[in-house]
Amino acid sequence: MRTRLLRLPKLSPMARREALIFYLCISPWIIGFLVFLAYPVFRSLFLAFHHYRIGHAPVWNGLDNFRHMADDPLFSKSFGVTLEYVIGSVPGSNIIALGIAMLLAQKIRGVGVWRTIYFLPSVVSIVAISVLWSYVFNPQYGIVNNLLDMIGIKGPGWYTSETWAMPTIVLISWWMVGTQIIIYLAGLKGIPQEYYEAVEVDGGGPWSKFRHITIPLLSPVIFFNMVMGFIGAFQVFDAAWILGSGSGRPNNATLTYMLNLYKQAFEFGNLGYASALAWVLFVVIMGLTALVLRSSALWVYYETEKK
Amino acid sequence: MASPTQARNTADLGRQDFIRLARRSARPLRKVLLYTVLVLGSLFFLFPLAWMAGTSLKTIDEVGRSQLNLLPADPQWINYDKLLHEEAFYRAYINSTFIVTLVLIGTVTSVSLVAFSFSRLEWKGRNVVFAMMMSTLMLPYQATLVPQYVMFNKLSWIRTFNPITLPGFFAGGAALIFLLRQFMMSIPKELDEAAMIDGANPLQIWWLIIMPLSRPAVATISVFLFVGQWNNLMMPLIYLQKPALYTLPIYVAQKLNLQEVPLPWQDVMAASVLFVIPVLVVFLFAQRYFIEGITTTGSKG
Repeated sequence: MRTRLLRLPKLSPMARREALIFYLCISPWIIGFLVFLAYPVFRSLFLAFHHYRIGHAPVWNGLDNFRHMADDPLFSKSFGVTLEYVIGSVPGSNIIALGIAMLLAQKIRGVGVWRTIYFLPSVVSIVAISVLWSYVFNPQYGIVNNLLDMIGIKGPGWYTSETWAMPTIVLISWWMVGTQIIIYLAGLKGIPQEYYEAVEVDGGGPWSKFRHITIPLLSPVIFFNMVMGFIGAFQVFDAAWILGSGSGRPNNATLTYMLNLYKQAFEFGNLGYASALAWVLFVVIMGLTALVLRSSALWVYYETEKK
Repeated sequence: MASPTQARNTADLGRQDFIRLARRSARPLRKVLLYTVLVLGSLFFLFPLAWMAGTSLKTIDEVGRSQLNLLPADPQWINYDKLLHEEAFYRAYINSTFIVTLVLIGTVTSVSLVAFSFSRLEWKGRNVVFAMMMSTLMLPYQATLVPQYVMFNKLSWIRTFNPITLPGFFAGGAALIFLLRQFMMSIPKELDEAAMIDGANPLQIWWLIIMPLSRPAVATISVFLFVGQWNNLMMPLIYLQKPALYTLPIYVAQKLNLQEVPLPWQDVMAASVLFVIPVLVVFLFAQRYFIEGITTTGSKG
């Protein structure tokens, strides 16, 4: 019975009808893959080596687009801004998420309620969250600077200050860690309690438990969250778009890589250059992911490789 | 990757384990400390949202004054009333709802058909095509932005909803297909066989047997899609360059003109509140699907 579908003679009308249905079911994906994914990917690779504006034929310009990046101040600025965000956002939000997940993994009443509360900000649109935090961080009447005032500190200009604009966006990212919390929580629940009991028997305290059980056994999960975090952080766009009023204000301090790409493509119409930018970002992300993957042999512990 | 059912089992196991441990070491002081930290932490996560709601009911004088009051002196429900009578606002609401509905219908139908084909039907080259589909997860989506724009421009689809709604009908999102396929694999094959003996064709099996049984996984991809699309900023920014077509994220972003003095924060906040409410409601009711989806695929959508 099980093999009926596969083994029926090729020309039987029944089998032919079923084969038709298989292809019918899969065809949306095949069309979507070819039209919306495969073709655009190859086309953008082609455009990356061309000068191209809408309404004109693409003109081959070799490596000019890539060479142009080297002396394009917006490119280096946006790269630096993005790097600042990645370095600030990924480790920070992972530390916070892990901390919260460890709290939630304790025996507490109403885990579900706590989890809901901590997860809540992560489903809210980044647009609304940026609106909210731009009020909280408002230099004149925002609550943060008001509180700082009360303890005698003159708060910075936050998103209006060239130095503080990106750190403000980093701080906001630390607040949206729901997904990481859920993944860490699932990982923590997978650690056998016997291991912790063994540490207790040996007279170890909470720190030894954390250092010698939690961290090594959770390292694959930490690794996963870090990689996903890096990939996402390099593409940061929404918060920068809102807090920089869509133009990288102040003075390109919030001009992230994707914002620059967006502007090059859809505001300045430099479609060839924007395609080249997309590929450089892809290569950077892949390169860094490969690097993290390489380094994982040093610090990620997989239980299957018993020592 | 664990299927949702497997994930649930391991979660239950973990819970039993730490209940056992906790019984052994229930120290009251530690508990007080634990709850204090939890409460302080949750304030940090909830307070800004409450602040948003509170601000939306203030007067323009109140929002521009330097103060720490969470609640308005006198709730200005008129802020909401004003918004509901603003054409641009309810048009954005209708646009967002329309787009999300189309994307949901298109994506859920096409993705579930594809997942069905990958999990329940046996056909030549299935595994090769499946591997190919999974490898598209690695493709740089940023690189597709420009050629897609050029393509849609040729079709004269700029300033229409098509570039956002139509791709959904073509099973976009390998992660969603994967999630559904994993779930469908866990449904006993005997059901299909019994139905086939009764004369059902594969499409009937998909619609009458597999889809109803896959409800949890379909719910998971639906909530992901809903939240992702409702909050999506970049695609509407690229394609809907006309105020009449704006979705809520663009509307709210436009309302927040940080250069404007004095900025009517109460109006921006009221719009934000109405903008996030549907997502919060869906999240509160469908929370477990979110959590299952995240633990299965390791990401949000």
